[in-house]
Amino acid sequence: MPSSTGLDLRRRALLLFSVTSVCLFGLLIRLGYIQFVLGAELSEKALDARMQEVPVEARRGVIYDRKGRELAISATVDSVFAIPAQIKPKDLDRVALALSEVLGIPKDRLLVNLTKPVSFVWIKRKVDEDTAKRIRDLDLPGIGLTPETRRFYPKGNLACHVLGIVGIDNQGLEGIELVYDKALRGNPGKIVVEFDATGRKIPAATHRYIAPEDGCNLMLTVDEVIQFMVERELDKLMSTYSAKGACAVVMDPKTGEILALAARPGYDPNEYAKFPDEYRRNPVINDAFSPGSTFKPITAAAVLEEGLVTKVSRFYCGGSVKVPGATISCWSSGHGSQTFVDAVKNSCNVAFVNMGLRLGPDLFYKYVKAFGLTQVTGIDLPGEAMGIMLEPGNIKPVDLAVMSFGQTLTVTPIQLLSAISAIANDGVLMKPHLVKEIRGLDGTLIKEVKPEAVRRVISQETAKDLALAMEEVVKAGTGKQAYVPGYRIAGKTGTAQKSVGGKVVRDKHISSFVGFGPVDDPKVAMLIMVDEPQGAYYGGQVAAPAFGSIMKDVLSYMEVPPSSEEGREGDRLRGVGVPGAGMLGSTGAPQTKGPEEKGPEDTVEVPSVLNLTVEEAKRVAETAGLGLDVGDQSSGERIDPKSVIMEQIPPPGALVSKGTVIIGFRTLAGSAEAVGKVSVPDIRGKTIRAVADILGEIGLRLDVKGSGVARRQNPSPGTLVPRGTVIEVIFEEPGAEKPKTETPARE
Amino acid sequence: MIVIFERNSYVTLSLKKVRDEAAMSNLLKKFDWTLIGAVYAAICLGLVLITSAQGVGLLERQLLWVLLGTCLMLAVASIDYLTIDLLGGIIYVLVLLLLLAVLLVGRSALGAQRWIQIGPIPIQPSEIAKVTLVVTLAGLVARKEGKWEGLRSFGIPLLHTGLPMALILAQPDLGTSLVFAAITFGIMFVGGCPAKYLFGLYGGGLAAAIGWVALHLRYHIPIPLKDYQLMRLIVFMNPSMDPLDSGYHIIQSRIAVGSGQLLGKGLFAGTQNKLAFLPLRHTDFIFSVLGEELGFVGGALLLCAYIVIILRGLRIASLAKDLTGTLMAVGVVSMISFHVVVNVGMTLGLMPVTGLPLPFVSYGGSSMVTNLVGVGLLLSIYTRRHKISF
Repeated sequence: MPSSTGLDLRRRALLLFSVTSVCLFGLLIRLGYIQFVLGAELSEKALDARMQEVPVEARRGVIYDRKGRELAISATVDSVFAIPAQIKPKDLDRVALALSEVLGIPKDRLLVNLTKPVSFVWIKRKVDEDTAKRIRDLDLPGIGLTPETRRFYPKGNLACHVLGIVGIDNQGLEGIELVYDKALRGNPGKIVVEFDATGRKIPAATHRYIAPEDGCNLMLTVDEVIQFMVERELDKLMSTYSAKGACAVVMDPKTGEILALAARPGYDPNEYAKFPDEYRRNPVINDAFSPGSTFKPITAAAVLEEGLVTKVSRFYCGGSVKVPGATISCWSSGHGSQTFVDAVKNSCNVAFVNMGLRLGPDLFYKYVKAFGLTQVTGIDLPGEAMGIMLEPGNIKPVDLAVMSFGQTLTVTPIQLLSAISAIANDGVLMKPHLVKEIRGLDGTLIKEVKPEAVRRVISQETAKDLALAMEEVVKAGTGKQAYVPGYRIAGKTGTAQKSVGGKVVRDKHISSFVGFGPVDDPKVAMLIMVDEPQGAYYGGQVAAPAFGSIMKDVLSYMEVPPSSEEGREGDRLRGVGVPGAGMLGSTGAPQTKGPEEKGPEDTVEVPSVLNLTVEEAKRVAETAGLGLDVGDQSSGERIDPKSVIMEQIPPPGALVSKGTVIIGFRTLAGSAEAVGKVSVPDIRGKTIRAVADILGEIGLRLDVKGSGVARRQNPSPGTLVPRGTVIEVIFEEPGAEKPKTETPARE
Repeated sequence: MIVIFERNSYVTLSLKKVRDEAAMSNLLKKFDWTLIGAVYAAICLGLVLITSAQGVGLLERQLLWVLLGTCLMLAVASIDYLTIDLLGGIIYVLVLLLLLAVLLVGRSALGAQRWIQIGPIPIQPSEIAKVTLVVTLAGLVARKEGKWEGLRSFGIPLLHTGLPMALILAQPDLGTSLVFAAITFGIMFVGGCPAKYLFGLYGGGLAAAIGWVALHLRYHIPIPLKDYQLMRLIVFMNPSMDPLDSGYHIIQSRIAVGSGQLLGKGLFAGTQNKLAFLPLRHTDFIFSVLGEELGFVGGALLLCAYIVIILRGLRIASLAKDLTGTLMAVGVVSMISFHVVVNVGMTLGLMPVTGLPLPFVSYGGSSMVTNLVGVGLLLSIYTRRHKISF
């Protein structure tokens, strides 16, 4: 072999080696480039490739009443979602078919969702427990469940116009739910679940759980029991007078706290879609009405405050009064000569026309404005409307005259009640509000709503004088039927003709009553309006009795002591009895019945129907002369007579008039909190056998200590505990002086 | 030829005489232990990575293949490569028949017919064909003794390569047929083929291929490539075009390698690997597993092992006592290095997906055995390097 060829051969081999080595070094450089230069970015991609985000909804805050009773809660339910990328084409049909069977959604509609080019899609939101379990058991690829919360209103219709509603994403749509949406909603979290390439969840892999920040809890100023009392009366009004609608607001005049706010027709916020949309309109806030005579206290306050009249100024009513351009007639054929107080008591239009004309437009408007009737009250409900008033610049005397007794102008019920409350509150106008406190989950106070005085409208003296005049309305005037035995109540009736399209309609009225009590220390101010009552329509006939009925129950519930001796002496002088003073907590000699009383009006103590079945509860209620509504009346749903009452309004021991309907709340389906919680019954004095029966029936367990009859128990009666809780009961031999807790249980 | 015969008979005699052990130990002493060390380091790393990628289930089978490959390697090492060269013609014909059989009765996997079943063992004749080509082409070119004149001198080696290559292309197995091209290039280049012809041939071929594909894509001129092969070429240019199908391999592999960074995520801890994002992770994409789990350090160490293997292979080529040995060694090195460059290049996104395994590391019996037989050839050449002077 020639050496040149050998050399050439070696050179070529070396060259080949060099090229190969260069290639390998090139690969090394490329490796380094990918790992160091692109490394961080690609690491992220590696993470992204196997991470899927599943949203976790924050738990919406609870809405409590002022005593901490739940009005709106959030129950955890499951929602079905799909991650389309994880469903292989070959599985698609199977998955859709299985889902279609369980969820009842047409298969082709499911297929559309399952093949969407998105990383996450909801299949069905908020399914019930059974469905969720079936889906979970199916274990379909790419299909998962995530807990969501469903808003639940355990009291059904109660306070629906205050609470409002939420949408499918738990977003507040109306009412308090809307106004405080931000606080209630919290911040959603997410579960980042690691999936492998075939879409299986990786057990024990990194599940980054970004916890949602749950929403804050709200405490309303509303008192559930007062709200109930108000709604009960509204229901009565609606059925008695076949009214088109009715509404009522109860307010603490000193703080502006709304104790109750209700409207009819109502709806169940749990199932709001089943009701016409217009039922959700809140007339208290959203609608302006012609106040009619309930406006008169405003005019009266103005003339008193301006010193244009005094309590003893006299007015003459001959049945009508002539003003430039018109003759205005009084509702009566003539009140004759009357004092200022009498004019208020009689609700004399002629006298008020005179007052209005004495004021003149400037002063009239000054007070209308001062009482807050030309602007929104700022209450924490959405869509607050404002009344309509003629422009102050170009009003004629006839306009002023008519406005003086509350016609041609309109106000919202909340505006009117706030204004009247200012009279009750010694002349200071308070801002009405519905929320007392916002608290974090751990109970920390986030925001406390303090009473907010808007302005002083009239002097204390004027307010007192006016209150006395309004008291006369109830004592002896048009508002007699609002009288509450034992209490000094001030009020004003109102009967306004409705105008449709600017024309007054003769036979359509708004019957109203506004007032407060007790006069010497007002605790409650209230407005009731009935829209288009049939049959009777005067405020004194329609609204006043309802006002009196609510006021009586509310004052009794709030344990407001009956008014001073003078008040009652006054009552006695007029022969108005104070029946059953004992029930009001004060002892006193038996009172004579007043002539107005239709008969022996008995007040009864509400029995406990807690833990009783519907059947038993109805029997107990009937025996006590009361009715029982277990929520079947509004929804028309059939109630299992064996279901157990969990909560009742009014609470046991409350004093109510005979015939009152107790509302019983049964085991609440869908509410995680409500399910399984029972109230511990009072079993003291019963034998071991009886106690075992009682506890067993409602799902509680018994821990027997001692023998004989039950003496003490833990937890104490009335405590809400989950089903299955062990109740420790200490039994003692009847008559035994000392507890024998050491004695082992024996039967 | 006489000398060769004598040496050959000497070995045969001595083997017979001493009854294995002494001669074997003698043989072992003459082995290139650096080469063997690098090869078995790569094999061990491969075994660990296969376990990480697919669990211990495949480890046993791969160990069996390593054992079989090692036996064959020792057997080949103990036979004089010139004896093998003498048998080349017969082997060549047998392999051609096997390749033909694949097309007729072969088993298909992943869209290509590559396997035939012989008893319980599935074998891949294209793998056997690689070593056969190395041996036979080296012999053919060596006999030219550097004389490249006339069309015949080019035509015969090209035809020699072209026959099995065409049969493999028909399977279709583009990757392996490219290995043939690489082996042929290496042997002809070192065998003294004038560079201008060789580069002209390969450069022209490459340009023609690229042109054909381009024309096909643009003007739909017919091309004898399957859709998936064409897609692999297209997504190589732009992986994000079809990220869930054809581009998926490239993207996931890059993510795996890149997320390994300097030291990797640790053995058995690669998420791309463990969570099955990486396709073919125990075979074609095993380098991605390495990159992910052992990082740059692991990848660099394996590449170094290959550099050692190639370095030793070319050293053996230059030490070989004759041109046949040299060219055989060059053929083996060409085969191994082409696999490494194409496979690693593929996992790093530098080459299109071709389906070539990573020598000594990827799971798969045929590839393991073929490469170990190649090493056996190198050892055979190495142990017989001492020239007997003319």
